[in-house]
Amino acid sequence: MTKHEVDRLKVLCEHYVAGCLTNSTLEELEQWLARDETARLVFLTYLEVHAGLGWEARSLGWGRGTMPGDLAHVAAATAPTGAQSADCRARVPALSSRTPLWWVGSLATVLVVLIGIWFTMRWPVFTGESIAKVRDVRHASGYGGRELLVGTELSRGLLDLQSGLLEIETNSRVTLILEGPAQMQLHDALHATLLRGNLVVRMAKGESGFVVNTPQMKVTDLGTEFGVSATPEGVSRVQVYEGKVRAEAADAAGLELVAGQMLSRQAGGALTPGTFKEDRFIRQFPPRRPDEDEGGVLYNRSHLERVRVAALPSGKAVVIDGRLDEWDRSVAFRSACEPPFASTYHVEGMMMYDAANLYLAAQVGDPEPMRNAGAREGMEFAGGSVIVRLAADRELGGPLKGSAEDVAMSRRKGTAPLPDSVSDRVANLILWHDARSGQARLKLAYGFDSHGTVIPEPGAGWSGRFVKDDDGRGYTVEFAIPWRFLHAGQDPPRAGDVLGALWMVHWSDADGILCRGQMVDITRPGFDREREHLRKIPPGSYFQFGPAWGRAEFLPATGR
Amino acid sequence: MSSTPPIFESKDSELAAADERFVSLLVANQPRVYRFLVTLVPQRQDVEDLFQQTCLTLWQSRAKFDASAGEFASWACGIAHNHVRNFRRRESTRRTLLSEEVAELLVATREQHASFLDDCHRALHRCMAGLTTHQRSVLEDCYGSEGGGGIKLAAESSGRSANALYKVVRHIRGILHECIQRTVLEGGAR
Repeated sequence: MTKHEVDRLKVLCEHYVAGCLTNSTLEELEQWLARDETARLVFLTYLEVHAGLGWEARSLGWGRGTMPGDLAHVAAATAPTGAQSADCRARVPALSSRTPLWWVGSLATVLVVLIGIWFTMRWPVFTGESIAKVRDVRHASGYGGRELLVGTELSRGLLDLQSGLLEIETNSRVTLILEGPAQMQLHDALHATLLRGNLVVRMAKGESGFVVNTPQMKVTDLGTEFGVSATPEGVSRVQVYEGKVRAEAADAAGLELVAGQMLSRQAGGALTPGTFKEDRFIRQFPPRRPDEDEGGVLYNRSHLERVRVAALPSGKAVVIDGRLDEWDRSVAFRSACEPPFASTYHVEGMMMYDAANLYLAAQVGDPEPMRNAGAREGMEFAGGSVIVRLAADRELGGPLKGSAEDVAMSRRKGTAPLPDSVSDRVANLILWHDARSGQARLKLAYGFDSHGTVIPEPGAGWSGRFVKDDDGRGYTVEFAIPWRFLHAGQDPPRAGDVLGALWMVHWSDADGILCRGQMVDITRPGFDREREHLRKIPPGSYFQFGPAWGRAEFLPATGR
Repeated sequence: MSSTPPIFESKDSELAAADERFVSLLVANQPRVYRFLVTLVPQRQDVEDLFQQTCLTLWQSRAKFDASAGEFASWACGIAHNHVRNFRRRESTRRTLLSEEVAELLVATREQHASFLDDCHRALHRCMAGLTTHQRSVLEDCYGSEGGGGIKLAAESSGRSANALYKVVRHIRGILHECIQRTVLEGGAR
């Protein structure tokens, strides 16, 4: 085990004896103990201290009562929530995401079997160098819903942030604020690669030299605070808040930017000046409300492979009023976040079609409904949204083969990408309620390269409506989107078609800015086995990977 | 609660001698049973209850103990494990309990490395001797506080914050853990 792994296991032990394990950390601990004998032995030796002290206390008359570990006591141990109690959060040490999945780079470090070492009278030699530490978190979860908590030591490797906000301080005193969903490779205390997401970099006074690579540019800090973003649409942006930076691209002339300036670059394009927007990046953690509770990690395990798409009976029309009276509910599917959030964060989704339109509807459980106030460029979904992906082209067949990975690879090699990787008829439909204008909004992008991104104005041919539940604990969304928006107006899907599809729901924080968690469903089971020797695709990135998509089956009209 | 099981006077001297031997074994192995329980059930009050139940069952089952069939500790821990299983069934909604499968693996690992873990336990005594008076006092306050308050109660009575006190206890536990590793490595636990 690496030093990081042992440290993390000790922290899990502390949570265990404190009765402060959440559902996800309990699961993590169990999985670890189940597969690794060394971990079991480390766990047992750590528990020896706790047990030994407890025994001393009772046998030597220190008194009777609760062990110091029992912070949360029975109340927390039996609490019907996956979250830690306030006591636990205040007192148990912070817990990081699971090390092996984050820290791919440390996999080469030495694994030592503890008991073998004991027999040979040598204690384990741990390796792995910490280069940064998590300073603050807000709704942050990693791969598979792993909790990311304060105090985590980070070494070189890939940081996969599914949702929320993470503040990191590197050993070079550089502050990084990463907004999820994001993927960032931390190379050392002065060098990171942002693959996706938003990152703010703040240097200590008088220091400089931090370098951020994105898929489209390299940004070198020259003593400053700046934001960098990398979107699934293949756009990289840099915006300077203080001081200056140098932005470079392999095939474009480098430029220096000063405070108040912004540059963007698309694949193969030039570094293009753009409009500076103060709120493009989250530079500070939003203040916590006095009663705010992190509430645990929101995520789901996909269990649905298909969604049935009902045909709208001829002569009938769908009124986009958020009431769903005309809907054939027999095709509804239900998905929910993992317990204990299943009854609070869930979705019942439906799809219908006719020759003119694709109809989408969902009833979403959401304690903070319709608050999307951010609508920041590229992050429109984060403040709460429903996203439907559909490959509206029967010629593509299934399962889909295209992916963002294929797009990137083909660009590097100068070869042609797979047809569905860049198809105009592989559509991303992002639906959200703009709390500022009170209007439903739609964003479209195409292919796994997310080209052709557009946010058509309301009234531009599509219609959508969000209606808040009477109890304020959710909302209903209903949309009609003409097939021409999916480039399928001349040849819309018809009965019998089986097309690639994927659904996602994002929930926000109370301010409607930060992504609080997500649900991903309608996926193809077993697709990851085909990638046995490759890096796992996190659920938050399934939308960029065609083989992960499930299917939408277009039903014949029933005449109801 | 008392850790001593009820001992009844036997009219039969042979039986009384057997009971005496049994009690000796029981007392000698109580720490191991207790540590075994803590592994599977971390909360002190639960451990206390299960420990009492286990001791009572052991006493009531003393006639079934066959010294030639195996060592006492394994038999006693087996009975303790049965109590934990029953407890788990009763408390199935508790999310801080490890699953049955993982618990079984831990039991197997503990059994396989019992000697090593006993060394760790012995090393703990040595390591505690190396603590400062203040550190030992903190442990005594926290582990020995009455009323189920643990650190919270100890913090209140000492005028410190529970958070600060917890950090101190965690730090001391870390020191002890490293110390027992080092001690066992150097063979000093035997």
